[in-house]
Amino acid sequence: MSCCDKKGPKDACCETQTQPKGFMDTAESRREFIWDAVKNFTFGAMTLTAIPLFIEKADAEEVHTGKDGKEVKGHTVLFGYLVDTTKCIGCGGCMLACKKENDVPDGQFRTWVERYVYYKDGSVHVDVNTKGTFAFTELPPLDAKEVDKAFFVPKLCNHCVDTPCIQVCPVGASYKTKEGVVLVDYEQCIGCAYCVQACPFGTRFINTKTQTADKCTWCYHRIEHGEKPACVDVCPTGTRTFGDINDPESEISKALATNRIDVLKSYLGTRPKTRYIGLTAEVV
Amino acid sequence: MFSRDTLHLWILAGVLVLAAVGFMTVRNLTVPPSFGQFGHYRGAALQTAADKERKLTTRGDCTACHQTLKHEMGKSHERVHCIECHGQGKAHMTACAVAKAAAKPGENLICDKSGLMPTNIRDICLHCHQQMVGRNPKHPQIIFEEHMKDNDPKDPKSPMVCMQCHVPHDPSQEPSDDAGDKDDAAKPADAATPTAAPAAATPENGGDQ
Repeated sequence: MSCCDKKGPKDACCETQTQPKGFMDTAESRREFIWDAVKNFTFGAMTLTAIPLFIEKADAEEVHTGKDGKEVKGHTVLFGYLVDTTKCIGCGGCMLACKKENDVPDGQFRTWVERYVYYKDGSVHVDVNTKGTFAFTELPPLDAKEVDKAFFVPKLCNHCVDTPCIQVCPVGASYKTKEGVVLVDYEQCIGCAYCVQACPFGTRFINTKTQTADKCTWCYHRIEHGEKPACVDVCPTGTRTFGDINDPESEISKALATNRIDVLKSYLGTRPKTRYIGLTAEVV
Repeated sequence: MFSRDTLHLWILAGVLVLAAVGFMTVRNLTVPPSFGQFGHYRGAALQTAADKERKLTTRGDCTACHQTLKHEMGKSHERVHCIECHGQGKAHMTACAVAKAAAKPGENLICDKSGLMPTNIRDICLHCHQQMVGRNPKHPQIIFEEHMKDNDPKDPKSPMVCMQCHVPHDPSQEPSDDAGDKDDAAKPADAATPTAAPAAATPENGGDQ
């Protein structure tokens, strides 16, 4: 209770009281309050306006005309790839075409062809031509009498739905387009090779020319213009098929619907979009 | 100005605000402009990837001018890409585009065909047809030396030996006497001098696909 509540002349009572230095109680503290309010409001307003300014400026810097994903015949395009290993003759035309199309350095491959050889003694041997020129005709010939069976398996990026390589990229340089193509942003990549380790299929490598991560792009620069990937285009036996798996009329959709399809390392759950015909348990 | 306790709160608030402004500044300086446009990546990278130069000649590039080629190719070789034997055609296409622009209507075009005619057809054929473990037995394969003995061609040492008995464009056909000199240009406007091609062929093209 203050003295002012007591009976008696109000003015006299209040004037005699020691003024508490409280909120807006005196002329002096009111000035302080206004000054504080001006200062705080100014700083706050500056901060709040600075942030959107930064963002707007960033957006306006680059006008990007490209778009992700496209619609054809009323559905969204989703690319897929099918390898019919029963047709492959190991000519290596795909390896050579890929190298030329994509400037892949010597000794590195975006796609390659493995040969699985089953010997009569029960052992299985895998070989591959790492010269990248004239395929298996350059390797020392095997004795056909000792061989039970043998076949070729072309390998390339599986363009998985659940991609371990994109998950681990620390700078967002690995990405997947809405059409299902897994790509590397070569300007953004710092070459840490984390994705190279993360890929269970060994399809990624550090390009010795650019020192960035590199991989099969399904020839994104060709498929975006309606062409086929270089390896599919040159394959003389029709081993490799590429197309829109959302279009039921496409060659690949019909092949997927009428064949027994498998993927590599399905137990890893990466859901590859590169499918295979004619795999065996030994093919990994 | 403030009580001791209030001052601490204001200092804390100031530090937080400064940190936020600092974070935004650093973020905006380091994150590329189009990052996040379509997803967690740089949107402009898509355009860069799509705009990359297409280097290999496609089947469509060849058949655009050489229109009869589609029918000329036999069933067994219809999938064999032109560049497997003839090499890259980009220089030829550029030369043809220049020649077409300069030519009068009805005039015969002479395009630069240098390097397009293979000089070592044997290696190119064996690339696919050499017998090898792993090749499907249904695929026609030969052991070259035995095949030479069995068939006894005129000139077994020639790098063009295969063409003495086989027509590369259609292996089911018997070769005619003028095989190899036949011009496969489709339109009359594209007819080039047949003799110009073998003379201008470069050796490295033989190993070229």
